[in-house]
Amino acid sequence: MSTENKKKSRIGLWFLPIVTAAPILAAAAFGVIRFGPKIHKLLNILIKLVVKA
Amino acid sequence: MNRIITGETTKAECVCAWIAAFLLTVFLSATILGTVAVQMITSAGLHLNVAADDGMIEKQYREICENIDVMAKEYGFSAENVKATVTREELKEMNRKSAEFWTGLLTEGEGGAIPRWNIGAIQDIIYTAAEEKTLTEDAQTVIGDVREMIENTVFPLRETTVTFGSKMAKDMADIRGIIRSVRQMPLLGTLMSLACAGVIALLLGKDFFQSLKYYGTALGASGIVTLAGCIGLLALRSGGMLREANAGLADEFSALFGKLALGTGIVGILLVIAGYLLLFLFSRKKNAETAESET
Repeated sequence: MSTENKKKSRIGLWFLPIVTAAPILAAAAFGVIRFGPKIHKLLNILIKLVVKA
Repeated sequence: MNRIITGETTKAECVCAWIAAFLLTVFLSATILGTVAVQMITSAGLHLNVAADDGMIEKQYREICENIDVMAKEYGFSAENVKATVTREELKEMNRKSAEFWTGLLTEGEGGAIPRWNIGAIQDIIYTAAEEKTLTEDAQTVIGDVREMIENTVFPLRETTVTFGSKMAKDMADIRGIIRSVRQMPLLGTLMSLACAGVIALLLGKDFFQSLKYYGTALGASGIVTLAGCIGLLALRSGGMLREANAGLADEFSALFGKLALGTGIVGILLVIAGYLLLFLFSRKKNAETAESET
């Protein structure tokens, strides 16, 4: 491996946490998009039932 | 075989270490965000802290005074005399009782007695106004309306729904048992995280500096996920539909989410710093090794 390539791999090191966190954040974003509106609706009903205006 | 003898990491060990690092990220993030959720549900101290917040008490006090002015004009009693009976200390005490009710409801499945406003002093003022024949309505109706207005400002929940809902939930499930299990979740997450860290240590025990890369990645990634959770909490702070229903209650939730977001944000930042510090140490060691092999 040349010195330039080694330096490149060192730079890639700083992106490792971002790359590792990406699938978890993507799964969370999917959950929010997929189930968010349903949870929103349910919460809305619950709030109307429990909270006085 | 040579690799094992020389202490070099094999490809299979690297793959397993990466899987362990990813799982460590998942468990660590889940533990931190789970702890936040458990705090939100079960921490009596946090709820009492929010309930005793001076800014919130002041807001409630002003709202009550404004409502008393409106009611005094409508019903014909002395607004100043009634306002003099409503003190910030009493409001704080009722907020404390409301927080206790909440905590009891969320941890034991029953909140106990619904907090009530002591109407004694107000009653005397209204009866005096009734004797002076300045009231436009029956004294009992006026007293009831004033009491309801104050109680709704501090505790804006429908009693029947809350008591019926909590009773139904208690009949359907062992709330105490569930809460006890929920409280154990962060501990379980911590144990799983330690197990993953242990697996990395076992796989890369012979190359300590190599393991820094995996620990650094996992800590940094957990920090990023925790910070994303913090952003989520800050987004919930605005209240949205709760604000549409009741601005006062939305303010309480806003204060609660604000306190939780602050703690979560600090933990997230510390994790990112710790993660990148380990990666920096690993990088320095590797650079030194590279320079050494070149000379």
